[in-house]
Amino acid sequence: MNKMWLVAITLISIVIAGAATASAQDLLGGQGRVRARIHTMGALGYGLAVSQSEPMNFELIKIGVAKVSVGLTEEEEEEVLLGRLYFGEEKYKLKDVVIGNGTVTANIYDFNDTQKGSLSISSYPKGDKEVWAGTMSLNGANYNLYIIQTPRIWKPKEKAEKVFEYCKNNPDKCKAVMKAVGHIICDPEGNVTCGEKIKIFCEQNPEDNRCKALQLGYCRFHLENADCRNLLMQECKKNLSEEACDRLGNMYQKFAEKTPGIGKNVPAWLERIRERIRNKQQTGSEGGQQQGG
Amino acid sequence: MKFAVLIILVIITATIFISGCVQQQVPVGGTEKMTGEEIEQEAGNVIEQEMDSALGNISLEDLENELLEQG
Repeated sequence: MNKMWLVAITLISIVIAGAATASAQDLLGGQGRVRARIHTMGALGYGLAVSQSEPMNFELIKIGVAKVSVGLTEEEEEEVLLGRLYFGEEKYKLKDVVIGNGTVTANIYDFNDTQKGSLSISSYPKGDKEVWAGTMSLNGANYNLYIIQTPRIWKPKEKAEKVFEYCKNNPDKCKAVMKAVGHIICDPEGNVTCGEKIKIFCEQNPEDNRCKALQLGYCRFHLENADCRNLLMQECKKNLSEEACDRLGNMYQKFAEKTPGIGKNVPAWLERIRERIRNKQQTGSEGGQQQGG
Repeated sequence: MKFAVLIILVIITATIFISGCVQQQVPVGGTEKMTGEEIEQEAGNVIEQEMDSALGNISLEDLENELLEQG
């Protein structure tokens, strides 16, 4: 009987301890878990830094630059732009980051927050991937950088967040695609609950064609995101009629005009877009001349 | 005897409760808002994790293979 009594007290104590711990966490507002996620991937890849004065002096490098959302709750999230650079075995922080459409600039700091240099890179498609090329000064030496962009596979949550953001900013377009999500029928226009429903649906069904269409929709307006450019590149290989292909082609063309050497040996899909852009420009200028005449 | 066991169990319960509180406070430095330094630290960790999982340990051989693939 005594043993039974002891066992009963022990079990009750364990339950109370569990509940007490949970309530302690609740009292503190569940602050322990910091939410941190990549919002926009600026650049992610590995490659070479080649000394400008001694071409045989080179080093393997890895780079990661992103806009990251950090906060204790969704409402309190703050966005920070930063990155990391591995130069051989040395690790550096990248700060004062600027992510543009296919461009990244940053200052390089050591972990004592002393500035050690800066870098500036631009991306261009080569084969199936994007390659970053640019220059870097580090510890008094100047380098040329060549980095192969590594495509990331978005996690279901990330995909859903992109869909949510797209629906929030483009409710009319979202409405057309998402008339019915499974058995949920809702109106995304100005309806946050509906947006949340779509987000949950797309998180659970990231491969659903409607969710994929909305992810692509998001990417059409976010060429600064390297993952989006990769997604669009894959899409443009299959379907050149996408309006976003012209935008992507124009973006690369601007870089090629500044550095003509890089525009040689472009992938077939980009060559066709370049041709289309040239034709449009010619038609436009001829039309302008006729109107002017 | 029973009373002693009960006291021990109460102490264990209190310890677990307090450790729960302490665990929760560590990542935010005991304040409700994160400091700029903490945000930067967390963001840096996320990027490093992403680099580790996507890039791993790259050798010159891997790079050569990638470049050959690009043609």
